[in-house]
Formats: sequence, structure tokens, C-alpha cells
Amino acid sequence: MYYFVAAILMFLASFKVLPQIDNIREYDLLLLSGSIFISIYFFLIFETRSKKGFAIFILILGSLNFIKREFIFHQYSSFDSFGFYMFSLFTIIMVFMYFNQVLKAVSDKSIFLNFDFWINVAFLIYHLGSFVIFLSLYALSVLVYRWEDRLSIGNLWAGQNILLFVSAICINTGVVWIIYHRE
Amino acid sequence: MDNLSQGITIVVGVAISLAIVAIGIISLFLNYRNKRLQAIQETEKMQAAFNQQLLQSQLEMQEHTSNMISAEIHDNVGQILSLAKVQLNLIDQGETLDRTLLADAKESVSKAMTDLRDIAKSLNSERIKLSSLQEITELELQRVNRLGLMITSLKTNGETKNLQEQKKLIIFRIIQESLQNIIKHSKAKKIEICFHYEKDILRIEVADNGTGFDKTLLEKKEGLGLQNIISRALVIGGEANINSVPGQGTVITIISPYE
Repeated sequence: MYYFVAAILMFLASFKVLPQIDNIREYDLLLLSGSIFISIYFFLIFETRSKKGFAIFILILGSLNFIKREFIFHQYSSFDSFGFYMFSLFTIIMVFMYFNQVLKAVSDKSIFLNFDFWINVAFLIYHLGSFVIFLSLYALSVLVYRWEDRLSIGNLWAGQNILLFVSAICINTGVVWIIYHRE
Repeated sequence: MDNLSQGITIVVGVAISLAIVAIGIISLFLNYRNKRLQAIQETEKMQAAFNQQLLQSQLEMQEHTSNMISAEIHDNVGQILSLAKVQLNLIDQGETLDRTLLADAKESVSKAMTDLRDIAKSLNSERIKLSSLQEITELELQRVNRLGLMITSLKTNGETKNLQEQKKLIIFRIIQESLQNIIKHSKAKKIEICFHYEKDILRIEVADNGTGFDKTLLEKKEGLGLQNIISRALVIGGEANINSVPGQGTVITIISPYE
């Protein structure tokens, strides 16, 4: 569901690139939907109250960040790199919480047949790499003022795309692995 | 501008390196999970071995008890009742009532009844649960004593501590097996059992002054009874050491933690 919503938002955002229309709102919505869906996903797979509580905390934080940007400060002009950075950081923490949960209840069943494992592997690879990119984006957007220089900052997305591609491969490998081994 | 491009390249490089670190973390996670799984399987195996050993010990104890009871009824109660029957026949054949003979017959029947009561007690499986390890060992030694082949003694050092029910049962079975070996093979005249209640462990020594044996028997795994003693001790998290010198007797030391 998250990936479906994210794909639609990215599709809409891409339409605004060539006519040079601001697509920041699509990215804000992407961050909000990411916070909601990923928090709900972790809320559902976590077993302890404290971990579930942390997932709800991320959900509330993501929603408050969206409300702050959209309705209080009306920050439509700048990409919310700090928000994405925090989102990546919290997702990494929740992935580690998931690993901790798996290690506490080790079972005979192969972990490779568990789709949650593949999703978390993809999350870790993507977010551990991308939080540095988001942090750099945030820092550079504060430090660099010249418009030409600002444009070259966009090259950072190349790294982001590589990470996204690797994490997509992970999820697809998981799907193929599970289907093949179940048969 | 050049510096900025360089900086961006470095950031992308760091991001990709971190993604590689993530793969390393996942490998570590999988490795640690496998180790935990192996440890859990090992524990389950140990638990299964323990349960199997416990069951086997219970069955062997029942068999041992049945054999002892059979022997006692045949050799002890049977003999006493035969004597009582002879005494009653003599009274029956006499013209006058021989009060002394009658008293002897009554005493024989009474002794047979006491022995039967003891046998009935030993048949009760709750007896082992309710009694301490020393108490059931004492009863076992009394049985051995009644055979009239050897003198037995039981000593205790230190303050008595409680053992887990299942451990108590397996240790008792080890003691029974040791006594059985002594009776069958050692030709000993004296058996001494000593309980040493130490801080964290219970050490039990079963010593005899019999013929002893060559320790290579143990290495060749020919002494299956002795091997059983060692493997049982391992199952309860303890150990059993067997020291024997031909002509100088044998000492079996059983060490078990309380928990």
C-alpha cells in the first residue's frame, strides 16, 4: 500500500519537473505517508508494548511535522531534508528493534521465508545509506546560496537512486525466494 | 564549485559505504541468529537426553525394586513363614500345648508381617519423592546389609541441602547401580557411602574394599554399568569419577550441582 501511494506521488511529482512547477508538497505527502505506513507496519509486527509505543510515537511525530510545515509555517518552498533525515534515522532504529525481536524468539523456521525479514533488510540498506544523503542535503541547503551550486546538490539523488535500486532488488529477491521455496 | 562536487561525491561514497555496512550488519545478525538457534537446539537435545535418562532411571529403579522385593520375599519372608509353619506343625503334633513354641511361631509371623510392611513401603513410588536422598540411600544400604555379605555405612558431612526432584532420582539410580556393581563383581566386605554437602555442589563417595579393577576397562567401554554412571552424571550437569586399583577396592565419586 505504501509503495503504491509512494509511486503515485512520485509519478505526480515527476510531471511537475519539466514545466518547473514546485513539487515540494508531493514530497511532504510522501514523508507523511511514509511515516504513517511504516509506523503502522512496525506497530503490527512488533510484539512488545514499548516497541509498539515507539512506532506510534513516530506516527505522531511524522504527522506533527506535516501539520507544522503545511498549516503552521507554510514551508512550501524548501524540500524537507531534515524531516526525511529524521524519518530514515527512526526507521533504522525500528529495523534494529525488529532484529532484536527476532533474536529474542529464534525459531527453527528459515528466516528467509519470512517476508518481514526481506522488507527490513531493504529498509536498513536504503535508510542507513540515505540518512547521510538527507543530512548532507539539509546541511548544504543551509550553507550553499548560489542557485547554480544548489542545482548541483541535486546530484546527491544519484546515490539515493542507487540505494533505492538495491533495496528494491532485496524485496524482489525476497518475493522470488519465498515463492520458489514454498513450491 | 569543484569543492562542492567533490563533497557530493564523498557524501554519495559514504552513503554507499553505509549501505555496504548495512549488509555487514545483516550478515552479523544472521550469523548470531544461527548461533542462537544452534544453542537452543543443543539445549533441547540435552533436555531430551535428560528426560530420556530420567525415564530410563525410573524404569530401572522399578525393575531393581521388583527384583529386590522378589528376592526378599523368597529369601526372607518366605523363610520366616516356612519356619512359622514348621513351628505350628510341631504344636499341632504335640499332645500338650507348648507355649514357648507358640510364642516363637507368633514372633515369626510378626517378623514376617514387619518385613512385608517394609516391602509394601518400598513399593510406594511416593516414598522416593517424600524422602531425602540420605533416607532412601540408608534404606538401600539396609537391603544390602540383609544379604549378609557385607557391612555398610553411611556418613554425611556439611549441612543437608535439598536437590531437585529429578536430580535426586537420577543420583539415587547412580548409587543403586554402584551398589549393584559392588555386590555383583567386587567381592567386597565393606561399603562406605559419604555425602559431602559443599557450598555449590553435592559430592558423594561410594567406596568399597573389594577386588577393584583395571581402569583400562573404562577406556575400552567394557564396563557398561560404569559408563552408565558417568553418562548419567553428565546429564544432571555433574560428573562421576571412578578410581580403582586392582586388589585395593574402588571409589566412585559423584559430583552434582544443587540447581
